[in-house]
Amino acid sequence: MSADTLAVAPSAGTVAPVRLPSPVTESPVAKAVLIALAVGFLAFFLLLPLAAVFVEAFRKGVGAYLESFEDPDTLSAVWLTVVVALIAVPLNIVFGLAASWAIAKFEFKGKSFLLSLIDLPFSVSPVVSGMCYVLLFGANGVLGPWLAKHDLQIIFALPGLVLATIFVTFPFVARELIPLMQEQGTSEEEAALSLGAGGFRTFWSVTLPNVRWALLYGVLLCNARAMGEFGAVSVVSGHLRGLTNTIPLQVEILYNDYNFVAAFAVASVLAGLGLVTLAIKTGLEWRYGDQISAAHRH
Amino acid sequence: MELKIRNLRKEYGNFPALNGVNLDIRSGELIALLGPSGSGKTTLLRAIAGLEMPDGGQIFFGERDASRQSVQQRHVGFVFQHYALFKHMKVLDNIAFGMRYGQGRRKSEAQIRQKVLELLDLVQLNGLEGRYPSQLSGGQRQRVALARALAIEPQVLLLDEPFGALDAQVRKGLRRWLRQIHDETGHTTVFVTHDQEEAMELSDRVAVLHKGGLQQVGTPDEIYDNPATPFVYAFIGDSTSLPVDLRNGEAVFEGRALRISRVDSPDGPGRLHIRPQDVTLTAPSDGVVHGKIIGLRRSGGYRRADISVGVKHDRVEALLPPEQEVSVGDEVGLDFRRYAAFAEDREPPKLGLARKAA
Repeated sequence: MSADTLAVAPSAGTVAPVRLPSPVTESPVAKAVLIALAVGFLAFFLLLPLAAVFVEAFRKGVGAYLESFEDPDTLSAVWLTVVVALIAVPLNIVFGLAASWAIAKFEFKGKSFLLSLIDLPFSVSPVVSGMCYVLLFGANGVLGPWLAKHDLQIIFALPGLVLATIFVTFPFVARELIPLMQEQGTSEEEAALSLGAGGFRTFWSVTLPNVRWALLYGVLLCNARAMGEFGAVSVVSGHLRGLTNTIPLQVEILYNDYNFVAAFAVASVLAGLGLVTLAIKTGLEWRYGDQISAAHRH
Repeated sequence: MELKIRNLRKEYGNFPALNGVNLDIRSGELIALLGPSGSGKTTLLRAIAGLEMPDGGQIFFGERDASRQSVQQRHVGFVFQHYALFKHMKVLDNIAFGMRYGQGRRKSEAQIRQKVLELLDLVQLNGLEGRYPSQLSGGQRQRVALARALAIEPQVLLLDEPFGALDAQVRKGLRRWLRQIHDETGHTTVFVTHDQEEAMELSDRVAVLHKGGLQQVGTPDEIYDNPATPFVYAFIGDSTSLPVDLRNGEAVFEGRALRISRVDSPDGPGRLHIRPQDVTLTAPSDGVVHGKIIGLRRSGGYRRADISVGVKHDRVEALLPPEQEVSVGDEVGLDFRRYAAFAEDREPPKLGLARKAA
């Protein structure tokens, strides 16, 4: 560098810098229009209907709202939904952990096939999956006569509801865990083994803590879907009031009975569940984003 | 603990990662497994640890055949390339892991804590027992990983590219420090590296691997001064090579014979390997080989000259003192102080200086 440039350099600092817009930024007008479009769209298609649920539910006051939950059929629907979720979600945790452990930590033939199999419930209509169970376990189904002989009721009963729910919520836990486990690799497990720990200890003290937030995230989504599932459950339920109706099915029945306040009151429970799920999910993403999975990082 | 490795084989699909390796590791020595990537050095280390099950061969820990033992039973200290610290545990719990859940006799929490603090003192990380791995620097993590491996009082310490992920400054410090720890604790230590400088500086002996086979085992001096194979010549230090004909203890390059001490029979075409510092430039009429300087580069305290030799313009590199007056285009004679010739060695090695020329 020559002496000339050195002498000139300091004076350059005194000139007020001209702020040029970044070449990849839109003009303020375009920005405002885009944001308004997005917000307007969300408000019209999401917030407005959500608000409507609560407005309808409370249309006749808090008393009428609470009365809706005194109906024994409604109560049994809430109870049934909780029972189904309590069975389906833990089973899916076990399955999800097993599948993602196998896929992420081992090499075996048919791995990609197993991966696409896990995604199947996402691509198949829930109604179709419900129909499959009816065809398999129903009175005229493949296993129907055998089940009837042994007095086992699957379709139009709790087992059918659980099976259908497990099917549609199949991918949630596994899909959260697989990318994270793959990214984490096996070196921490190998370290634990080299230090003398057994397989179960390694899983419990090393693998599980490393994926705990992702697991919680998956469980949350799995639970929301398990409680809110309509299609598959509708096919296998048989709509027996007070017996095989879950919350979503009960909402439909109440609505069809022109019992709008009760229908929206029950629906508001599901909507509330959705909002709580969303809040916890956002909280997890915000707090533990780096420990959830690459897909959710900000 | 002495280690004996006998005819160890391992294949990944059709790719042979270990090709019948035999290696004796002496008790208490610090040995480096050195090789380019894909040479099988990490596979060998992991096979010793029991993290990789070989397809054939045996591994003896002293007199005990460990070949079929599980990784837990082998009781080795393993330090992973990227530390593999348990992210959700504090330093204390990381180091205590093997004492709490390992195979050894159970210790009380007070004893464990005592031992952890001793180890932290050994690795010079006093006072950091309450930190999480994410709150430590790379060098500190590496030390924690070592302390954790030492905590189970292993018979053998295995390190996979221990300094690979650290920057050059930290690496040099840790290298000296690892040597110190080794001398203090007296473990038999095996470490994998692709960095020859690290291997030469740190270890008592170096085992050079290439394509799943052992090329040479020896002290750093032996490896550098008497490379056993063309590969070692090219991989360790700098060298260039010339095509020659081997005849009756002489290497003949375009009609000029060079006496060779080590004859690698049989006679026939081979290559002559020379290190740049073993080339001296003379008057064109004097040297055993003639050439023309085609390039000059400054390299540290020396200058490197590229010299085109013979009718096929083979390239030889010479390391010159900077005061030697030469310039590009000069005709020069070359004398070789030290060299080696290998038979059945047709192609120039695809490594180091020779590759740069291509």
